[in-house]
Amino acid sequence: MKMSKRYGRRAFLRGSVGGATALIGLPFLESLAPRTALAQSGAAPKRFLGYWNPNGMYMPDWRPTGTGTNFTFGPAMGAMGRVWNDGLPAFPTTEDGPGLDSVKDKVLVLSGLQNTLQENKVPGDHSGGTGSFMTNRTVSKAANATMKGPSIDFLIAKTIGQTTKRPYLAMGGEVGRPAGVFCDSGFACSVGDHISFDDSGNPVPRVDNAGQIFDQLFTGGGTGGTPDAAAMARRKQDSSILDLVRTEATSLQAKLSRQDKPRVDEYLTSVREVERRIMNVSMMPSGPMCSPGTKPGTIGLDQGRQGIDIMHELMALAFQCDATRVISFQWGNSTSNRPHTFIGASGGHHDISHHGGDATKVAKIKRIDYWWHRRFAALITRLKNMTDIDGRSVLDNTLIFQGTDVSDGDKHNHDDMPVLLAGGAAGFRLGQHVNTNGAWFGSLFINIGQAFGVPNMTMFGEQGKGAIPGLT
Amino acid sequence: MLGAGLLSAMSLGCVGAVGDPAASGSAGTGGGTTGSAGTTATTGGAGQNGTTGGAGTGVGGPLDVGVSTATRLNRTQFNNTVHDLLGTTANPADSFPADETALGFDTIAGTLRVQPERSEKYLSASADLINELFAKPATDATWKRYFTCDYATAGATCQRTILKAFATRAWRRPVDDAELNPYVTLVGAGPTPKDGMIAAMRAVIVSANFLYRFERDPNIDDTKAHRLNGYELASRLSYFLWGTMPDDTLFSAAGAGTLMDDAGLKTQVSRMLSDQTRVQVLIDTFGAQWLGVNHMLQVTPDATAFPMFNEPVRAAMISEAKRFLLDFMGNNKAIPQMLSADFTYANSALASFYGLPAVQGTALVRVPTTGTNRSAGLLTLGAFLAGESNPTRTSPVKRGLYVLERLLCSAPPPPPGNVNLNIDQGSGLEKLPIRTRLQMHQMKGSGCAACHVVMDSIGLGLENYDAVGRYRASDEFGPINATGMLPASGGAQSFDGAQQLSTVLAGRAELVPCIVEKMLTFGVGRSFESDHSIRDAVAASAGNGTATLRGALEAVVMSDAFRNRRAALATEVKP
Repeated sequence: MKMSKRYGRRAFLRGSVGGATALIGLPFLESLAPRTALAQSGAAPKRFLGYWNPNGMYMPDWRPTGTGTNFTFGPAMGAMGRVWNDGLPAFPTTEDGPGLDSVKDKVLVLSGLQNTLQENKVPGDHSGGTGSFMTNRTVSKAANATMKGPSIDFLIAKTIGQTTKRPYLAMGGEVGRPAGVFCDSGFACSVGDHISFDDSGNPVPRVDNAGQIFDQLFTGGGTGGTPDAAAMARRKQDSSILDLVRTEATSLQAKLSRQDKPRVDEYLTSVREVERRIMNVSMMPSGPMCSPGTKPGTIGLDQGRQGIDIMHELMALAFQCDATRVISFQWGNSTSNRPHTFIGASGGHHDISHHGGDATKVAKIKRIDYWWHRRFAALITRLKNMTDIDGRSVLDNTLIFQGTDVSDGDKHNHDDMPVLLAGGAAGFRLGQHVNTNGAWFGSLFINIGQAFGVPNMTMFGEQGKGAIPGLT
Repeated sequence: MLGAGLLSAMSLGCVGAVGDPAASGSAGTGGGTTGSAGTTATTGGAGQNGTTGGAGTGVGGPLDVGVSTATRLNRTQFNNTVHDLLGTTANPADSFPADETALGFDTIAGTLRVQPERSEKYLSASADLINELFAKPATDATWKRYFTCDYATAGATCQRTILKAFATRAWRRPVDDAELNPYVTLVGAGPTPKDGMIAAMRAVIVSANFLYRFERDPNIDDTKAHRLNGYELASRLSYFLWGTMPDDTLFSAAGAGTLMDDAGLKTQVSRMLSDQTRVQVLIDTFGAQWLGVNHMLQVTPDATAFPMFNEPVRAAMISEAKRFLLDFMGNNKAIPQMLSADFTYANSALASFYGLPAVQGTALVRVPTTGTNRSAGLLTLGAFLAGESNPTRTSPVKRGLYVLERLLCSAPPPPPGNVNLNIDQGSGLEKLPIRTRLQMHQMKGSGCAACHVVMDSIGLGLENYDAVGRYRASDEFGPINATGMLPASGGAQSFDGAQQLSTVLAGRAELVPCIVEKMLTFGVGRSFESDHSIRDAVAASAGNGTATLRGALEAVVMSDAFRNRRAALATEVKP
């Protein structure tokens, strides 16, 4: 595992942050015992990461020049050491780092895609672009609205995620809005501020706390540590309880009125799924499969790269340990207004994204985009440097799909969307820039779904009518 | 965000929306309908609607109280319920997935779903909770309440007795033997009696009977409204006012049938609203959500522009709003006076931040505001003024929308999708006063002005308060102009500044009906937006402009909408 001293994980994952000590131990891949079943077969699992950013991008900085393999990244993604001269406070060198140019051969840049608008004549471009991000469906403003269909990550999880501790994990990088606060232009946050949706179009609950994410992935004996007698007894007890309450709820249904039956249906569905997960966990091979280290603490939003780097590290560990194969990540809430004061970009992100040509705001949004692409490049590099059980890198067996709710945060447009793909799991030809000339997200999801073996992937969402040609 | 998104065009209907006489007109209809429920001679709705009660008696057909659905306990309710049920101080639901919200509340039945991620948490929380119970000494009050015999030696009859006592409380209703059979069987299946008992008691709180509030219809094909039974009503009431399971007194009243008559129900409501400790939950849930107080947790005032804003001030502003509400729960003042209160609550940090006379210490105390610039009640609460601002400047649109949405229930219809919603757009605009920018924006689209005139007027009336809620006589452009006018049926009402705006708003006929609508929405767990007749009748029974907050809550509980339910038609069921 190679890693420059300056950007090593040890350096950024250790230390006192926001009053709590944040530390994730290092998984020493080379010393891991083999993951028995998988190791014996020699095949590595595929993984999918759906990655979403709030408030669009500053497109002049994002847009690459040239297409095909002969292209150059825009300055947001390009080389480190950018000189600012914008009158803002210094951009700390500790927050700088290599750009996507350092992993150019692992990235596919897609331009010219379009995503779905919210309901006709209803404002709320951010909510509209968030709920539709992986569904390619229109977001409705109705109080109890659903997306009326699943997101691509949920379908992939149904195909490849059924034998891991968690079939999927929806992660968030910012604490969700409290009750009593609406999302963009009065949308219910259930559709306007989520990106992962189940078969009926209800949001998959998002976990925004690093410690809780760690617990979901790595505690409870689910990652292959030899279960002790107490853990085995607990599983048996859990199963007996679920068996009882499932039987009870089934008979309860007959006594309830029509309006209550959907509620009991979904209770039963979730109980069955938990029963299935318990069975999965108990069938997993024993022996140490990975070393996730210790549970991270809480990171303040104002702490710079440490907060996002911990989330990225959890994703990498989850894939490496095969604790889940499908992750969605919302780096912020829709219309996130958190400040990036640590890189000299004070003020709310959403407010800044509406720069209206104001030089100071433009300078700030450029810094935010540039900064985030450093962190994203570091995630790609991390996965690239992890050896998978088939001897390739974890990145070779992963597909990252990254994008935003709107294209330009100032214009709120839903065409010309900035999209990045990275990793080899879908067999896309990497190291190039492709202008899709107005293809829909839904079409791209057909490409992706087919690559992951999702059945019946000929249509997707409202506009996906066929795969985008020429990507493989 | 919210305000910026709504900053745009709308139809002419907008002016009407605020001064709309339709609301008062429909009150009569509502009364008639309520009366027609005639459901029972004792209905609070008919009896209380002094002005309209008689109208309905002769009209045929049932009162449509709307369709309510089985409601999952939300996180707050789960925590409070296990505190009361198990004597624990743990808050296991804090680690559950966040509750989905709709209509501004986290109690909306159709939105509170169960997903596998949540069920996993129910399962693990049940182990923690029941194991904690079994670690208690035999002298512990909660232990003694359930364990009235020795389950390890006295056999299945004793085990059944214990489970019956526990499930009756956990499920908030009597439990019959057939329901308990599988639980008794589960005890016997354990490796030891203790393990079996733990498993069975865990199952009681993983059961749908614990996690949901179910209400039954005698005949699922008969869609006529009918009274809830006593236990169902006790739970609705307890979760509404206290956010938890019924206490022993309420549960006994349900069993004795006294909740079925007006006097018995009123006795309980009165008792519950008089409990200052328990009522705090109502403030923290309904109150905070209605007024969007927790928005204050997430605003990020720009540190350069507002260096004096800090975390103690943020916390004090949240407490100020809640203490203000709690005061109105007991001070017997009418709801419109919430817009002209002669007091607020402040600690040392907040008083100094606002420029009020000094207060000692970190605890908030009631401070007089007469003659100060903080005497407009709800409109001069810091959590509102700072919570509805942008990081670097005020947002008159957000503030105006807040007032329309949360106090008058007249949120304007959304602007068309093809309008540029950003008033900061265009280089140099930030160099202009916000009033000028908004006026320019209003003129951009043909229909914009109709609505913006209302929203912006309200917000501009509050321009004397900066983006962190401090008073200012002038801003960078000179003295503040805080004048405006609101359309009204008898001609426009003009105002200058927060106090006069408050007086205008306090006189609006929609004020109390709107607050009643919020209470109904939160308490019954569904929308009351489409039919104003129910809320208007309840507001009338509470006395409209003379209603107190407490009186309005009582009227909500006494209403048919709260005490009745009906089976849904197949066509009314949404997945």
